[in-house]
Amino acid sequence: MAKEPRLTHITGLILQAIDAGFVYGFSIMEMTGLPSGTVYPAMRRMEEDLMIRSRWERQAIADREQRPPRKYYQLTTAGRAALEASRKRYPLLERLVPTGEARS
Amino acid sequence: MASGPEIAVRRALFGLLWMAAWVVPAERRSEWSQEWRSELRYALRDCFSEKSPDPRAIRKAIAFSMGAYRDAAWLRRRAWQNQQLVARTCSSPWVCLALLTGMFVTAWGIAQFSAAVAAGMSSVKVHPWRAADSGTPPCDCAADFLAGPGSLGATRVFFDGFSHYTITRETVRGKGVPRADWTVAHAGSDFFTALHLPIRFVDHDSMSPDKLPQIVLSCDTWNRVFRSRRDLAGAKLRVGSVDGIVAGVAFGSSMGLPGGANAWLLGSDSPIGNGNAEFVAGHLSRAGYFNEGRWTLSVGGILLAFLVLPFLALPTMGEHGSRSQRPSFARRTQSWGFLTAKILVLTAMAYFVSVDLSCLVLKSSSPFSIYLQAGSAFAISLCGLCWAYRDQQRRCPICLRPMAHRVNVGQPSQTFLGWNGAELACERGHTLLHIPAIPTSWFGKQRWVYLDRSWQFLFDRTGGTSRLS
Repeated sequence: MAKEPRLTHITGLILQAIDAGFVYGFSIMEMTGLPSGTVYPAMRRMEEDLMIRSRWERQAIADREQRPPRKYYQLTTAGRAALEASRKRYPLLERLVPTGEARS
Repeated sequence: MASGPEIAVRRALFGLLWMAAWVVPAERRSEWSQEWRSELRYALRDCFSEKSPDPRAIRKAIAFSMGAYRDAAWLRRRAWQNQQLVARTCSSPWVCLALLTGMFVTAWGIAQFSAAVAAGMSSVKVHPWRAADSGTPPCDCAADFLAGPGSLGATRVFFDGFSHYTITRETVRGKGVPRADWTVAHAGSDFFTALHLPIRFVDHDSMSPDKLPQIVLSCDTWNRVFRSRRDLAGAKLRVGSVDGIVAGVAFGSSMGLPGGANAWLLGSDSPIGNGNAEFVAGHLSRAGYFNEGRWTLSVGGILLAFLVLPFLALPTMGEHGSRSQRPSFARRTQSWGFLTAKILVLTAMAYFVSVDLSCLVLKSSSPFSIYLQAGSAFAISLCGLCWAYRDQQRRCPICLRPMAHRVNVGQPSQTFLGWNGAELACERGHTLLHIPAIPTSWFGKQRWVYLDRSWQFLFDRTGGTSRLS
């Protein structure tokens, strides 16, 4: 009886934003319009539910761009499946956060 | 080059993050800080873009930083949930009862040993007694001695016994006792009983009222004059013009009574006046709250909570799948015994906590003190009773451990809800518990389903967890 991850609207929105290429916290926040106090806990929950995973950017890249290293998030297989389920459940999701292809 | 206001805003926002970081569990704090500090730089990017502060962007940056507190609080909550310290600790019924008993003993201990509580629960007012003309030092009384240094005039204290004694100098003689002048305290025959003072080596024959007056020796005199003879009780002594029988040896608190008596002559006519020093001694009751009327406030609050309880929590332990599935009488007795024990300990704890609160939070003279006592007794017992019932409803009737692995079940179309109930399983594989989201024609209350041994393979605990988890 594994715990079913909660597929809320916020979850769908964040998954869609990550899929659209907004891969660090502040950019996800800016894209979705959600406050930081909502986005970061939601991402931590999704990471616990194995829908997304995070990795730190290499220091050399950050140094080259003269900024601190970012923590990047990416979808897992489970996250991609959850995103598909979210798109069915919330059809406007893709319009709210268009993917790179749709934007171009 | 950053301007003064920019530096100030940066420092303030990084300070906010630094403070929020203390809420984050230690093992995640460093990475959490690194991520938030990194992200804050983006939030600050637009604040001073054209050498002048942008109030809107600063407000956004502040809102961003405040979000860190929600994130930190979420992580802290999550850590607690993962630890499940309380849940795991209370999972055993014995540990649960032990914890409750510990809380009760703490509340009882505060009520028992706090002078403020004893004073607050009493209604007798005692002022220091002064001997007006005899030149006796003021307030040189047993009450002050027993209560310790404190202002009896300012505090209401409870006495459960009074007695009076007079100090004289008497010549004492007897068989094998050298003639000597002793300081003798003349007191009533119930002196030691009234003041709860202990006597050693009591001669019970001499305690009979038709016998001669009793003599209780001070510990010092017994050691010095009688060389600690243990067979002394029953010996005759002549104190002044009165014959008496040694009844025992005083020790403990009586050693500190004023007057410095070598012996206590009980039941003789005490010589009043003549310039002799006289003392009134009273015994302070530490358990005054039992003897006085204010205990009824707490008991009333607790009884009221019992009356209100059925409106808040249904005192039912759930249905059983079928009559044949009902647990055995012994199991049911064990389950009800556990519930009864919880309720008893909780109500006793509510009583003492209400007493403690009313006396320690407010002054006992405050009119709100009685409301606080009754109100806290009601609130604590009501919360405690609700918890006791709900805790019992979620415990397996077989092993009395909390049910776990909650899952939502049901079809949304049937009830217009996302699910129509939840199911929990006993971690040891005894039972399943079905809780309906709303009462239906097939499930009114929560229902227990007992699992036979064929389900045990699911609950194989090798490796520390059941296969359900």
